[in-house]
Amino acid sequence: MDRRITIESKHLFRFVLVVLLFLVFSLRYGEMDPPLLLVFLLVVFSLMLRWRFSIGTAWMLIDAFLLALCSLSLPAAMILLSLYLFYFASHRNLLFCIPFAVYLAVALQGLELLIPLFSLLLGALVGVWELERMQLRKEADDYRLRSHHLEAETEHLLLDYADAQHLSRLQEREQIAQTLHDSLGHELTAAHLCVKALDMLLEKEDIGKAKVSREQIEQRLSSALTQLKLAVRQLEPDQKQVERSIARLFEEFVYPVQYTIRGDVALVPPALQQVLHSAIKEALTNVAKHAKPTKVNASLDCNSTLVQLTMENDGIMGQKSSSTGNGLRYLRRRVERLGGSMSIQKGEQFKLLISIPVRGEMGL
Amino acid sequence: MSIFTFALKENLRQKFTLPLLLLFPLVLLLVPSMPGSLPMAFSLFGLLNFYSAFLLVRTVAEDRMHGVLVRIASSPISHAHYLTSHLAAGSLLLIAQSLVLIIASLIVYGSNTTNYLLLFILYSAYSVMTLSFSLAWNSLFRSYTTSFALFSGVGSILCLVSGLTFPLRFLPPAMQRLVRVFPTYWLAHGLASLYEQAGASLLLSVVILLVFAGIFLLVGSRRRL
Repeated sequence: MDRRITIESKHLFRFVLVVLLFLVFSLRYGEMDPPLLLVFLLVVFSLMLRWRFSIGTAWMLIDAFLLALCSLSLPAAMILLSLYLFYFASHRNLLFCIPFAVYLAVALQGLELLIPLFSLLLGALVGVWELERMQLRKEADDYRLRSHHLEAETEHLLLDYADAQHLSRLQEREQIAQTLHDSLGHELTAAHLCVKALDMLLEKEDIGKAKVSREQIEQRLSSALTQLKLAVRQLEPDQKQVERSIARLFEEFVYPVQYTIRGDVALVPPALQQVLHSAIKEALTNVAKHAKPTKVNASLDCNSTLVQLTMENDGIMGQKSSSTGNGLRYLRRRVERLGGSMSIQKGEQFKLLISIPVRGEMGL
Repeated sequence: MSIFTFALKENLRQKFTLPLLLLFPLVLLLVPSMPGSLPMAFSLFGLLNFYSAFLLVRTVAEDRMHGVLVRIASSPISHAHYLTSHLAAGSLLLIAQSLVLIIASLIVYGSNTTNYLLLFILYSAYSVMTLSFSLAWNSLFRSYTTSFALFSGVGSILCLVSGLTFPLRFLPPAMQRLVRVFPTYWLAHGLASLYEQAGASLLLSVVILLVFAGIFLLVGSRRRL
């Protein structure tokens, strides 16, 4: 996990406030008689009250006004108004600063004027920084919310995808049943009737007609066998289509890919075939986005128990961040849904390894 | 049983509480007085009160350290109620301690030594300050033992340089100005004002002590679970 050192604006606010307090105290240390110390302590109390409790900025006007009144009889306390200038400016209430800034500008002289000016400037800077941080935090929150929604959408899509798989399997079964009924049903029913007729003829010892009936049975069964072969041929998918599609992905990629496909991809369940196709596509997109490879190696091993895809490339560009992008993250989720695993190795070369066990049904 | 009664009983159950509250103030009266000031027992009482306050805050500190505060936070009792009850119990005991000293002084030194009512007001303000200081101090530590170990050093130095264990006039002038920032100084200042019968100065000391108490309360009352 990346550990970033961040300075919160409230910490900076408190730090500057303490520095200003110390500055004002050291400036007035020579004149720090009990009344001035009391005023100083009251100002500290007033500021700490705002630190402990969330009180509206406008209430601070009362404190500042009372201090200004007090400074009429105790001029040494006037400089303490700088702290309130800082407070108002950092809370982006520049309007509140105006009367006190004018008062200090008239009453203070020489270098002492620098302190309220400095406080005002620092306060404004802290205020602007806080505003900037708030906007950034809002944007980050928005992005997080969108990402959350996106993930929820992906979850839904994956579930929909599983439902669609189930539905298509049901439709396929229905189609098979219909085909078998249409093509085989009639012939087998006719053959069955002929067998019954044959039995009756044999009982009557009508050998001539029985022979005719037996020939008819043979014809019906032969026709049924032919129709069964035809139906199977019609129902059977194009076994080489997925393999061709995967090979086309490798061959049409912008960089040359050395690939090997071992085993029969057609034996892999359709859901797994689709994930494999997506995985290869995502891995190749990843290579194109983040690398300028001199070589890309890919191998696909399919057997009756496991499907394994390995992709390797060099020429990685940019930082070797340990985090995974959205595409790979979603891919991992899809692979894990099928009971498989996905691992990534990052070094001089980028290596992606996907293993999925072959099951009869989807592992959902 | 209300939290206030519970806190009172918890504090009195500690083995040092009763001697600190009832016996030690009387022992202080045995310390010989110095000329040109109030009896030394009055200023030394500041040291005794400081340590007593620290011991009385122990229950609050240990509640936080042992996780009792977490259980209280999940109950319908507010933190403010819990804290004010404990502080009220502590203040009551400390004020009782100052009353013991005042009554004993009245008997030993007589009624003409000083204005005992003003002395009582000063001690009450000081007690509130020491209690809130102890609360703030303990909120900085996770272990009461560490907190006490450091406090015993810092507290002694604070009382020493603030004119509670010896008259302030023995300190260098620069130091005398510096110690004004210490809260304990304002008891010594108040006692000096009482001796000089300077009412305004005494009132200032009381107010400053209360402001200090307010600041320490703001720091110490933070709920740290």
